[in-house]
Amino acid sequence: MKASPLARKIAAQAGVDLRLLQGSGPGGRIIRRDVETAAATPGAAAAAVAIPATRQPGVDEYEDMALTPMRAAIARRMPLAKAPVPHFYVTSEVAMDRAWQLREELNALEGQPRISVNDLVVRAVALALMQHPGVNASFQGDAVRVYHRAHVGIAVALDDGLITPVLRDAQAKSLAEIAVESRDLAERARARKLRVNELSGATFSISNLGMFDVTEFSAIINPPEGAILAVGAVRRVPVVTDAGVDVGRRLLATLSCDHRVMDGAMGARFLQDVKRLLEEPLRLLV
Amino acid sequence: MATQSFDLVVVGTGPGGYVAAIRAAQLGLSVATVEDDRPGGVCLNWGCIPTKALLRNAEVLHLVNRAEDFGIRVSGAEADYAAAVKRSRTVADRMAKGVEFLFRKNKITLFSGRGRLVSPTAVEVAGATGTERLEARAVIIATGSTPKSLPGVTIDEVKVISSNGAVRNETRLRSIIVIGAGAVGVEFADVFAEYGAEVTMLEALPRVVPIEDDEVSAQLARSLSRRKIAIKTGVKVGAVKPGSGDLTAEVVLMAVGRAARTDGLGLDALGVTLERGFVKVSPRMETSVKGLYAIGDVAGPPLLAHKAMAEGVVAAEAIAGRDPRPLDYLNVPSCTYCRPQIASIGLTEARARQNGREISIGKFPFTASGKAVALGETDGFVKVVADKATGEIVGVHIIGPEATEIIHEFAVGRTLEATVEEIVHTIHAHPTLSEAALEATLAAIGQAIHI
Repeated sequence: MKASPLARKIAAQAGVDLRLLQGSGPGGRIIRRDVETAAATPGAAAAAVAIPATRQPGVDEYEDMALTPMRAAIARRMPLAKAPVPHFYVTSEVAMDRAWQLREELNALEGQPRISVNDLVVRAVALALMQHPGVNASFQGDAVRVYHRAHVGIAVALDDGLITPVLRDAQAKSLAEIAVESRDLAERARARKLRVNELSGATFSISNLGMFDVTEFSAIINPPEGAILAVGAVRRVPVVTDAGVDVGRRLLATLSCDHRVMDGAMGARFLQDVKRLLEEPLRLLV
Repeated sequence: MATQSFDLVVVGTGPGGYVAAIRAAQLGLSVATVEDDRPGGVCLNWGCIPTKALLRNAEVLHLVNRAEDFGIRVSGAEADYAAAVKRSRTVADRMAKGVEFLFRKNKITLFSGRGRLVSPTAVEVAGATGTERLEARAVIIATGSTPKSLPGVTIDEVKVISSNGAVRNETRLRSIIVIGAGAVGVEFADVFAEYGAEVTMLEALPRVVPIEDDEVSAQLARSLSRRKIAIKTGVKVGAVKPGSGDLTAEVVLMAVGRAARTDGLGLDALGVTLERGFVKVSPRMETSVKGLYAIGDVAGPPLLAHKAMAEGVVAAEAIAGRDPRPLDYLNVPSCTYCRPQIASIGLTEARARQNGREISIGKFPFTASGKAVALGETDGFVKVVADKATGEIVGVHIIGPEATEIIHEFAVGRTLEATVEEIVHTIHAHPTLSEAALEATLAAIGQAIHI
């Protein structure tokens, strides 16, 4: 792989994998512009998406849809995210009754931003990452880089793909700040109006498919991050209590971990803390 | 009126035009060029080349004058300015003949006369023997630029001269006022001062060579002052007239910039878009009119021969159906050939900071360079502006001996997207002036050895 020294440095800092890039320099050399474009690709490329002309249904048995730039980027990156990174998964069930209650109370307050379940999860994850720096980490070939700040990538589904804007310094932000900022990021993600620097530099990601009534799923890690949390829907389920059977709200969360960075127990302890924070949600406020 | 057809007609044979013509011919196009003066344009005939010959004379004279420093006693030395000009003419003639030779070698037809566009693909040439019509698939405008004056000041080329008059002047001047302390003003000030003229330089902006880095300006002002050149910056010229005034001199040189030469080309009628008086072009050098290209000074700043040449190659390759790499205008070196020389590339420290970049600065003075001390030319320094996070070479500013040669290490570096790391791992021969480039780069990362 040929890449200019400056392209290599910028790629290392922006977390861009040079192996995924096509160089535009002399002889196919990867130059600075290629890296900067790649760091911006999901948003920038999406703006240029052409919608294929609708074909008459029922004429052909199938049709080949041209890859949009975003689909092409996802197709190129995912095998390189999944194959070389040894994933393992830990799943935990979280009792969301108190968190649900707290959220309803918060949302009843006048003049406060609306808090979503995902905002609670982001806050819990950010706090837990500070307790478990080994999870807020990245494999660097000859070292494991442990980050001191939690920059949380929040996957946003788009009609034709997905994009992961980054909520920076989540550990230092209140629930209200997280709510306002992540809504702004999501809205601008859908409007394809994110800036390059808002799409790179995450240290950990969260993917939430709860709004699609998904019970649980596992996500692919977004290198060079070390882990990603896949969050399902909050469901009302029968719960066994001392008194018999009751109805409770439960959420299943699955952590995908890079085994080069951490081991099962480390991932499990982190998830346990996320669970505790959500089950004792007043901790999210202090 | 005779009509002839070519693939390409180039109007103007300065460094942009002749390079475009040759490159197009190399790519198999039939090429005609149109020139109302001698091939080579201002650069070869009246600009870059003859002034470099004069500056060399000034340098030789400077060495003779300080031969005593080297223990060489010279008596009876006489400096004949007319001979210096004659030599500069010989040099210019030789280079212009070289262009004529290259045209013959590449089978490029030269039409003498003034070219005028009658359509985007047809040029009429009014020559000494009549008018000819040249038709082509594409036309390149490469008509260059002419010196500007200040409002209300007429350049008569006798008392109020431009660079055109200055390079032709054969008499040794007793005194001269140079208006404008850019590259042209500073170079002529150098020559005339060395030949004994009392030189006063006026500049409207707060410092000499105002487009260069602040520290370079300050160093040049010191060096020129030491040579008894009077410098007045931040001054506005009220009027230039015969008789007495605040300042008087035998001759006034107007060096306040140059304007695109578009008069009588017929661009208006074709609807060619101009921008601040210069022809507006795309990255492939095409104007707003399809098939019509413009390169060099007429296509806008920086007004530099090497920028024109590079644009000529881009235009020729685009016309020949190639996919040329557009110019990176931040990567055009800028050179001034006064003593000490000045050369720079990329952003100045001030501009980099304005852009909000986190930068580190490395500076190495030639007083600490063994080679410079041995040469007896220790004025100046190399200054490297680097990006703190990536080590990108954001800008380099050199003032000192052979600055205009040393700069290319950084031009190559920037083209290859090298960082400070690659420069410092490059072994620089000892003793050379280029070692200052290494040391300044080391200084930018806090690792200079010799300072």
